[in-house]
Amino acid sequence: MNAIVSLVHFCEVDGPSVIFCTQAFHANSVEDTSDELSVSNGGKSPSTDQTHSDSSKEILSNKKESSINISRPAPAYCASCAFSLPPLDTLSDAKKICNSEIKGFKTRDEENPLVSYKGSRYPQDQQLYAAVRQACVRSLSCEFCQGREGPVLFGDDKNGYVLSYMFKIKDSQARGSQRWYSFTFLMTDRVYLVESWPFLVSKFRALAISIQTKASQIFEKENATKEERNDGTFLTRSGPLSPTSPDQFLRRRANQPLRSLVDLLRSKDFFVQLHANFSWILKACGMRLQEKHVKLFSNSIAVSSKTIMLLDPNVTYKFPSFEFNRSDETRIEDLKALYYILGLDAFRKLILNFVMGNQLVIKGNDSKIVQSVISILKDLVPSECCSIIENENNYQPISICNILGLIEPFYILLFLNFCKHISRDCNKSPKDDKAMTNAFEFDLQYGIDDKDNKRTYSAPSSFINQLTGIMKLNLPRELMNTRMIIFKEQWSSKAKQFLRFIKGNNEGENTLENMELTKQIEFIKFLDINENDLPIIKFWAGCLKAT
Amino acid sequence: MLQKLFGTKPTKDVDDLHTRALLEPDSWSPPAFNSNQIRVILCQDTGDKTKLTLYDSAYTVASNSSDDRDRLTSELSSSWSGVGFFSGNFLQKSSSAINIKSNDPVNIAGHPPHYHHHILDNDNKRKSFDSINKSSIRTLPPSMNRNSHALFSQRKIAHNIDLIGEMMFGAVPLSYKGMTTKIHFIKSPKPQILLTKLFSINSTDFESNSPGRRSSFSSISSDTSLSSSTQGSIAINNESRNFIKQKCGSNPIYSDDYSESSDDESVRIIPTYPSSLFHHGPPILGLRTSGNSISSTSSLSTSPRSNFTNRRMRRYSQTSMENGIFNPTPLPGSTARLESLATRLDPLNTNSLSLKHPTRSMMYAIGVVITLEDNAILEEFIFSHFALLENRLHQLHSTAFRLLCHLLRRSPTPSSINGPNSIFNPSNKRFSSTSLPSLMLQNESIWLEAVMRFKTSLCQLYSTPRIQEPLWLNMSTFPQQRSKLAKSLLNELTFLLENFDNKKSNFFISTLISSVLMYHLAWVPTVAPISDFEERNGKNLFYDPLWAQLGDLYGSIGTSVMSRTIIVGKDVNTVRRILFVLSYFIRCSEVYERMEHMIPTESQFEERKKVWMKCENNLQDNISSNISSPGVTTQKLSSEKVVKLVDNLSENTEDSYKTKLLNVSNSQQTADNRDFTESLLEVPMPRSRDSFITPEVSSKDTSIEDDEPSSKKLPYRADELFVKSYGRSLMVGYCDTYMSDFVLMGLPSLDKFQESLDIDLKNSLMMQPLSSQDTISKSVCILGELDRLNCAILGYKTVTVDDHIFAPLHTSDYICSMLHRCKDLYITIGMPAESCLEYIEDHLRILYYKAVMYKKLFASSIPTSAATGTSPSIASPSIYTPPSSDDNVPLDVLDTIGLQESDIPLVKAVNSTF
Repeated sequence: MNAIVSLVHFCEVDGPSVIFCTQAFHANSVEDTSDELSVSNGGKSPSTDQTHSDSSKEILSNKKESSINISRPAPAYCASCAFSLPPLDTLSDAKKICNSEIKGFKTRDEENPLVSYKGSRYPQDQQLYAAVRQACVRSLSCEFCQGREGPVLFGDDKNGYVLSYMFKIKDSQARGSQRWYSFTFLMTDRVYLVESWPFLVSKFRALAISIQTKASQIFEKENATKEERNDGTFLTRSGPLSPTSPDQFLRRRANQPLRSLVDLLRSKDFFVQLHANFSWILKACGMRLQEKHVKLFSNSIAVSSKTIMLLDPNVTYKFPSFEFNRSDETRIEDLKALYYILGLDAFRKLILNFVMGNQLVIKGNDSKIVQSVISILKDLVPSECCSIIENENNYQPISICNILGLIEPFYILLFLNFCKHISRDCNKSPKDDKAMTNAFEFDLQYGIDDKDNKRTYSAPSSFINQLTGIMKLNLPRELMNTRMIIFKEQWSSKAKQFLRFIKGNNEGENTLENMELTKQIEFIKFLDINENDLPIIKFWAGCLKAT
Repeated sequence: MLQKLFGTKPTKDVDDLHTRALLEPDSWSPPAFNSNQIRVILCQDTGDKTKLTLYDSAYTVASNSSDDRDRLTSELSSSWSGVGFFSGNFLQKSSSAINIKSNDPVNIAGHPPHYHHHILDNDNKRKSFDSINKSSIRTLPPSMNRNSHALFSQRKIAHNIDLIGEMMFGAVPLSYKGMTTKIHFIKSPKPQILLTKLFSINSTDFESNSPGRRSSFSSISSDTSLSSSTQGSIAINNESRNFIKQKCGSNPIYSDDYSESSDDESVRIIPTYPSSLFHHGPPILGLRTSGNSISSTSSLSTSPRSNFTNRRMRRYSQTSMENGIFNPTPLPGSTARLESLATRLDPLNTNSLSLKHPTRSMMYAIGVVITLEDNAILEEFIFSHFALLENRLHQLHSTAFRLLCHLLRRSPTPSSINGPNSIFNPSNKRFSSTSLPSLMLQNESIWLEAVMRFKTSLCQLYSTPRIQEPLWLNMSTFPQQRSKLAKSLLNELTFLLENFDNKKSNFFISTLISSVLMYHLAWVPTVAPISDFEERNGKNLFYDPLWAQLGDLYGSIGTSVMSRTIIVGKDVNTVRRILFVLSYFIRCSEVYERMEHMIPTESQFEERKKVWMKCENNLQDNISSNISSPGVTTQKLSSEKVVKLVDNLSENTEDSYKTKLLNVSNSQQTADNRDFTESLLEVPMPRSRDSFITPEVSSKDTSIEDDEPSSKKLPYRADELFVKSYGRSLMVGYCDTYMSDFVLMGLPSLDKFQESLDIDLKNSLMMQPLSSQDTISKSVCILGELDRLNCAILGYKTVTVDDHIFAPLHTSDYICSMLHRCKDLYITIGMPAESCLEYIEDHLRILYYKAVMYKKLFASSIPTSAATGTSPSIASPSIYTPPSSDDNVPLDVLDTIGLQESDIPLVKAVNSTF
């Protein structure tokens, strides 16, 4: 929670004063907000000084009040305003030294390791100090609250917004046997603060009650002791520390500070507990409302989380460039490059066989080239449709992988295998053709080819023709990637629908062939699937089903 | 076959029951709340203990007899006659827009009004000023007493005005003269919540309120060197704009607020009536910054989806105080800006930049007392819907501000301010003692109208029955309801497409859905891929989820356009169907409320003393390994399970607090903060237990088993759930009367309410409900007119408020074909409803990618030229030349992406989100 929670009180000597406050910090601010922060800082800095001096003088129009020294105070000498550490005697001697330097507390948020809560007498920042101080003065001496107990919210554009929960506790030594306190919760976000009202009020109330209960018990005890001692005849406001000499009596009346809360409540770790409570309230208030970002259908099949595109205006687009020496740098950059290398016919053949689920064996003299071809091709299908082995020395059947990169010097090979991926049990003895190519010469063997079927070859809406159409587009690489994602999304969607279609129509038993033919044709028509692409769709759907 | 509706035409009653059940499956009966529970007070601080009451709505309710009112009324109204104040375009029509009838139960008798009581009476529109005075006489409650002072002193005891006055003004006056916001809880005699806006008026405000002055404001607003903190936002915006300019160059895409293509040829409607009261004044000043803030919003995003997170991150950093930045969120309506700007306008005052004008200003307060009547839902509503409530309160304030300025200027003090310059005369000290007659505004029709509007909108916002199961939200939050809801969505959608989406019907449905997708853009992040980045950061940000949700619903995703949608039609059933279907396309993320309770630290610290002695030797151990315990909620909200944690305190005391309680962290741990150079004592976080989460997500395994709808009852009724967040609160069904604030609504006709809508649209330009530093750049309403089978957009832009937007909307062919294919899959093929929805989602995602590509196509103009020199590749023979501008997109470019011309407005809108 972007807030500062404080305990403030009305001191008989010093007037309104801040006793202790806790604030949430992020260990390292999110990188991307740093710009934002520096921007805000920059915009602000010119007026910062003035704002400070303004706010320090401007608290109240009342002259007496405005003379309150608001500049960074020295450590509180006034006992009643003091914030103190837990008893030193419980720690070892070695720690005592350390303890004397300790200026506050720190609590980690175990649910959120980046966040910690730091507690000290004052906020470290000057401007925040002014705001906390302002909140303190206003809540204790300006704002009116029925019965002077309970919540009030107030604030403005300049001093921030404060929810103040006022309460009083019994103190036999105090004027009217009562001391006035308030928890203040300071935020800059007005609406969020108001929304948090019910939560904060209930938590502050509980905390106040626990303190009041303790104080009342001690008050009762002290009164009992006092009455015993004084025989009920001397009913001053003195408690067990009641004056034993006239001198003491006078000093007390000269506004000697009251006991600190640690002494008053007889709780040596009062501030440790208070800080723990404040930290918890800050944490729980921030966690109270949580947003959940939802997607109805969780996954986008086409795009893995690794292929998130960044829209960076400064990116320079690289066209695929090839060096034809066999340096280590040589690799094929993208599908379009592959398209140009292979030429239309070989490209069609390679892609068609691959997307239909046939095994692809790629052999080459340069593992980098083989890898680049593999990485280009695997992006063409949903990740569910790919099982890849790279840098393998021996042939592996399709039951193990449908893309295989073989290491063999001097050649790039594109093997094709007729095995259907869906039926994983099929022939282990691939009747591979082999095609060899030297450097960027290549050969492609086996595999089906639709070259001779004129009708299907030219069907405009078919997968392969759409793809080659995209390849022919004259686009920078970045745009080409996006275009390919769109293409892949479209076909993934068809495959998903097809999967549902099969599931819906053959409850496990029937095969697609037995299905009502007209319906199937209609379905294919609605999804804009070319009849020849059914094998592709079937393969993709099968892969999606398996996962 | 799935569509029973097609078989035989259902009888009207059956259909009525059916469509009613779509929107309101259960009864809607939140505890009653009527306008009698709202008391509006306007007070002046005269410096006395007693505050001067200028208006008190409780006053009219209590008193009951007098026939002497005419005299007083004429007295009051005399101050209004022939006023230059109104001679501009200040408040002519709107003053009679709400005509308070003397028999209006809301106003007089104290009977609970029906929430959709017709308050707006259009018959008296466009009255001359004389008739307004007459009407104010006529509408005077029969309660006015000649001796109002005496009466007032009697009443004030009964109405605890002293107490409320103390609360509103505070026990000690503050020197701060900007607007102060306060909330009090009044415990006795009955629980009430008091909302206060405390503000000051000084002499310069009179001036600034004069029409002549106002025109010069625009020149002032470009001044960014203002130093008071209220100016901070402007300064920062400019700062960040410059910063962004440096970073991004002058790439036009970043300053490009998307605009629907039809905007250019939008029909400029010359208003048939002068602009209303709400038209003028302070907020215009803030509008200059809108361009800046938009550009900064969009420029900060680096990834397509990240603006979704960016908006939240910005909010987080704006409200953070960690680095000593202290920028309280500005108020809606930016009155403070006006005041300080007005101060600066004053030639004698140019040196005092802050909001101080000690002797000359007078404090006023608007108080709204809401009586809770043990209505816990109402109490929760007031706090959770405060952003909207506050907007209304500020509208009330802006009316009061202008009225008071006017009255003070015309105050009949002997040496009253005569010329525009006389108030600058230092010798004129009259002003400081100027005080208005008690109950001055008690019969002021403009004020009464504003109060009535305020009360009505509040009551309506609370009690109007909502669409109980907004499709998107319920389907995503309650997976067990998904298949049931998907079926009814597809049934209704296909029915509508069959009947209202062909050439004859002007493709009404797909036009409407295209428009909704274009303006309520929160669907974009729901289909775009989630990057790891935002997953990681979303959790760590401290921002207000309700604020984020409100922005989603109003469509303020990228640009700060505020959008609403109203379906108008006589055919109730069809309108209901449309509303139901649209609740799938208008989206927002779910906000969960986690009820966490702390295990009292007392018990947790119980063991401490024993432990300390033991643990001091291993102080440097990592404490975090010890504090995690089952009591602490480790279950994340992403879990589908109900988080119900058992308090394991007794068992766990052992391992959590015994081992170690204190840890002195060394300086290296605190090095991240420059000021914390001293050591800090490490204190473990107290453990807590979650009792439950709302809305509760029933566990999945039980729901898969049984399909009985009865078993899917939510732990909360819809009429309880709506107060928890805006997600189930801003969509309403078919209403009799127009209502403000709602994002989606059905109406029989808009004729009578055009004016109210108009005022709301203008007002929302001035509001800042969605972000502290974004001003709204455009406020629009999609109007789907079923009877005319016509869709249009109407609204206002901030650049010039007079710039009325009115343009017909057209369907996107992409959306149209998507919907019809979906219909075919569902009806003809008989695909399951959920898979049809998946089809829609897939195609929305594809549309998103197309938009990304479209944007890249135009963004890539600069780098390409550089790239061409270095690509002597055989692979890419020709050089790509991007289109120079997107004004006339060449068809082949669209072909490349797979878009048609009709899709471009939608694609541009999508692009505005990242």
